[in-house]
Amino acid sequence: MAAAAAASSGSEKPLPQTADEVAAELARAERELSRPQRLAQKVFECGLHDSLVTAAEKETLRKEILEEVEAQEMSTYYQVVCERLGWPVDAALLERMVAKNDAKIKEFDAAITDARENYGDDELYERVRVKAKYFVQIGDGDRAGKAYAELGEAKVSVGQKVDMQMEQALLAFLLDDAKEAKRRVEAAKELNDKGGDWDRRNRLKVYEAMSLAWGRQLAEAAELLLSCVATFTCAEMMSYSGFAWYCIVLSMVGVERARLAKKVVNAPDLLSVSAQVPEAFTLVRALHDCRYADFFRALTAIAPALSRDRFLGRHVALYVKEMRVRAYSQFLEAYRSVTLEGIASAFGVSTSFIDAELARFIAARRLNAKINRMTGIVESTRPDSKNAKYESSLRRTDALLARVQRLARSLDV
Amino acid sequence: MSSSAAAGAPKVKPDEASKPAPAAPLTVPETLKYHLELIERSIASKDPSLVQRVLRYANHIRKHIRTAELLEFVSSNIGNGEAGAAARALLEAAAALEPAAPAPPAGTDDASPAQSSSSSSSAAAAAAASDAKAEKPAADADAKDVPKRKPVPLTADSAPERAMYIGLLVAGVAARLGMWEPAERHASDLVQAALQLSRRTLDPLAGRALQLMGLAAERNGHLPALQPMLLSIHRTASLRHDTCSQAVAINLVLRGMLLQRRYLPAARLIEHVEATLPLDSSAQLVRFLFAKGRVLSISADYPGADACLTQALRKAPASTGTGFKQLVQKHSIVVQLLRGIVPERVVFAGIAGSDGGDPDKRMAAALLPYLALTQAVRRGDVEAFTACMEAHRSQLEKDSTLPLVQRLRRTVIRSGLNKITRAYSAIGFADIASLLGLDSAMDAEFLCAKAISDGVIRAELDHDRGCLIASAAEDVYATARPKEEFHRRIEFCLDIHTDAVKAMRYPPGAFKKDEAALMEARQREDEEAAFAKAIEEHDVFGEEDEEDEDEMDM
Repeated sequence: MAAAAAASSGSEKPLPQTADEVAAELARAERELSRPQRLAQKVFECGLHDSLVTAAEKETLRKEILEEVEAQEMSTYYQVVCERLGWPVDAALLERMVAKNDAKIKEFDAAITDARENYGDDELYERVRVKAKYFVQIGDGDRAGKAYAELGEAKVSVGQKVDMQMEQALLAFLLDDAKEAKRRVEAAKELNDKGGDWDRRNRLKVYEAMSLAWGRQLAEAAELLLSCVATFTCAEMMSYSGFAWYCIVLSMVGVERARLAKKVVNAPDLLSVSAQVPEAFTLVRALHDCRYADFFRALTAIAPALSRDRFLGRHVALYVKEMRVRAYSQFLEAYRSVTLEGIASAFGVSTSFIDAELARFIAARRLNAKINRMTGIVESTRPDSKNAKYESSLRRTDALLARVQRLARSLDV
Repeated sequence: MSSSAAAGAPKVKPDEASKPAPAAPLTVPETLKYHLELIERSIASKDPSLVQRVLRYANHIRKHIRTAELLEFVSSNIGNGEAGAAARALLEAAAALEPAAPAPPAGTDDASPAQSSSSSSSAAAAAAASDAKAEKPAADADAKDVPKRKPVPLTADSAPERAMYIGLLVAGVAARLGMWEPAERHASDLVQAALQLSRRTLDPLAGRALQLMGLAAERNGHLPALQPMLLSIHRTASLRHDTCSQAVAINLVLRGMLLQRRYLPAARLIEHVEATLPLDSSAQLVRFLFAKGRVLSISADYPGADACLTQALRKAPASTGTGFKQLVQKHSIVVQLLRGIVPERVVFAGIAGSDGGDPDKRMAAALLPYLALTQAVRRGDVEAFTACMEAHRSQLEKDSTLPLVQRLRRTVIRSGLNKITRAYSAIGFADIASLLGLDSAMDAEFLCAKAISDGVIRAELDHDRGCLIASAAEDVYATARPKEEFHRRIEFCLDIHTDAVKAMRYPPGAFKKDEAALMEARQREDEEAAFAKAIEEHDVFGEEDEEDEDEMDM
């Protein structure tokens, strides 16, 4: 269908002949779909500190962004971006785009009035939909919202309603509106559960996963992503290799070792794109093979990419911390006692660094060990679950009872 | 200055009853005239709520009225007596200071008056900025209904009140323009006049005047000097049952004492006065609670202080008094840290109350130094803590939290020690000293000793080897503690359950349905009984007679 769309878009190109050409054509069509999201990523990178994205890179990105904005006539989005990044608004460019917007909107409105008078509900719906999609294209959240609200009452299939929510979710992703994105995804999920199809369900999972990752719920996002590895069709969000990257990176946060090995390290679907995401694979393999020094190196290597990603960029510190905790706890599981020097050399760092790290995480109850500074030995302690459960149950009970008491007081018991 | 809503005043329905939108907004002179009428009606009908309503709007007017308008109003409404002349002179001087006006908002159109509390007028914190943004549209629509009312003639009965009200506005405007000395003098004159007249209807207005005088005195730097006078006003007010001035006077005295850091006298005053102080006005209650909280915190009663401060925050007005709320929140955070409680993250986002609301960016910004302090305390990072304290020293001084924050150092160290004993099974004192930023290993040893004896950490000291040995985690199930702890909680739950059962009531109207059925059943019973009785009275033969009669007829 993508190829047909490309072919019918007016060009006289001959249909692709060889398998390679077909593949290339498909890839191109997929990239078309993800243009807005890739634009959002570029905008995000331009907003980062110079140490993460150099001035030269920003300049290139800026040109690309402006090209794309003009090509898609994104007048509203342009203003939003300029404000966010502190760019001066090119009034002439803005005018041109607004002129094109207005012209197109007039056309749409004419078509809509025409449909209202001469055609039935279905045709009317189609034409209003086209107008709404145009607002999505130009990145105008307000007008798109209004247009979709009009369509909300239409008698259309569940699938189409889900599609509308998803289009709005994509727009929210573009406009950096995490709350709106979450709302739309929830709405789409509810609708889809009532009778949507599998393809939409899978795509929604990816949307939801990215929404969760945005909101720092990395482990949950990972679960969702892993569940659609085999059925990924969400080209409008990202390419398959991008998806694989997120899968690998996020699954290392919460997925335990055996499952990680099966679903990520040895997963055929992910392995097929391993060449395109080498850093991520290096990282997860190092963890799996217990090559801790390599793991740390890979972690530092992938950190810039993490910071530049618009979903994970805000959570880099958390992610790196979680990776460290995971590595240390995996290491310590194998030992009853080990010298600080031994750990330090295994990880390729200094003893004092390891001491500080372990002390920090042990005190935070993330690791079950104790350091004996006098002898320089770290001893694993088996977590005493009974006492720990006692403490935590007391804590949670107290919180609950406090709320019960407040309730009782407010009810005048 | 009771904060009770002016529910007593009859609402006038606008003639165009269908129009929910505001009618033509009142001009300022019209509003003022209306307020004078309200005062008149209040005196005539002995209804204090009308005066309360006037006072509620007074803040808004004070902030927005032009001196020219007020001057005109004063000239046309006060006679040419001394007071009038003084007021006029004041306003003329004020006009000079007034910045060039942008288009003034006419009277009370959309930006309607502040809520009842006057806490925004005397911004309780030295650091508070007056917030014009704090006004919220009041639900009260009577200002817009006014043009339809018949004008109420103003009699001599309400002359003192009206004069006081106008005087309040004048002083308020002067205060707004920064003319604190004339404002103080003017307010003080009002207060003296009120004392002389001793009219109960004057009390709310006099209370406001007293508050304004106190604010002006503070700005002029001699609030503490007024204490003898304030205390005598308090005595007089108590004798006269003037609840407004009582509360205001005591709060001003406390404020002066706290400014001078005289915490012991303040504590004694609170002790003596607390039982009988009439704190109906939540504005005054909240000020009192804050003062009490501060005094308690200095005297190291942290749980008590925490209770006072949290209550003050809860009862503080929702949309005004932001400076005050920020200050109380800051104190509350520090006191909680001193108690060993780490305030939740949402507090620093500016969300008051734990039920959530919208994050308040200004509050969040004001709390930034305290967020940094809290993080240092939580991490047990003494270096970060000292650095933070030094960096924000001037702010802490302004907030008067510096002495408390300095006490936090011990908490930080203890928190750090806690983390150390959790992470290390054995660690030398020199290492502890370097980790905690202490001066020497000996300091560290003594600190550990003290902490162990206070029960903060469970460990042993090995002096010869110079190290701290953490004890193995106690198996709490080897003691009777779990049993006791669970017992307490279970008992608590059962008590609540019993109370809830005891408090159960049938819902209202639960028997109405049954009542009807009961009535019906009773009726039916009565009918049946009557019928049965009737059958009894006619004995069996009676029916045969009837048949004979019929036959005979035929």
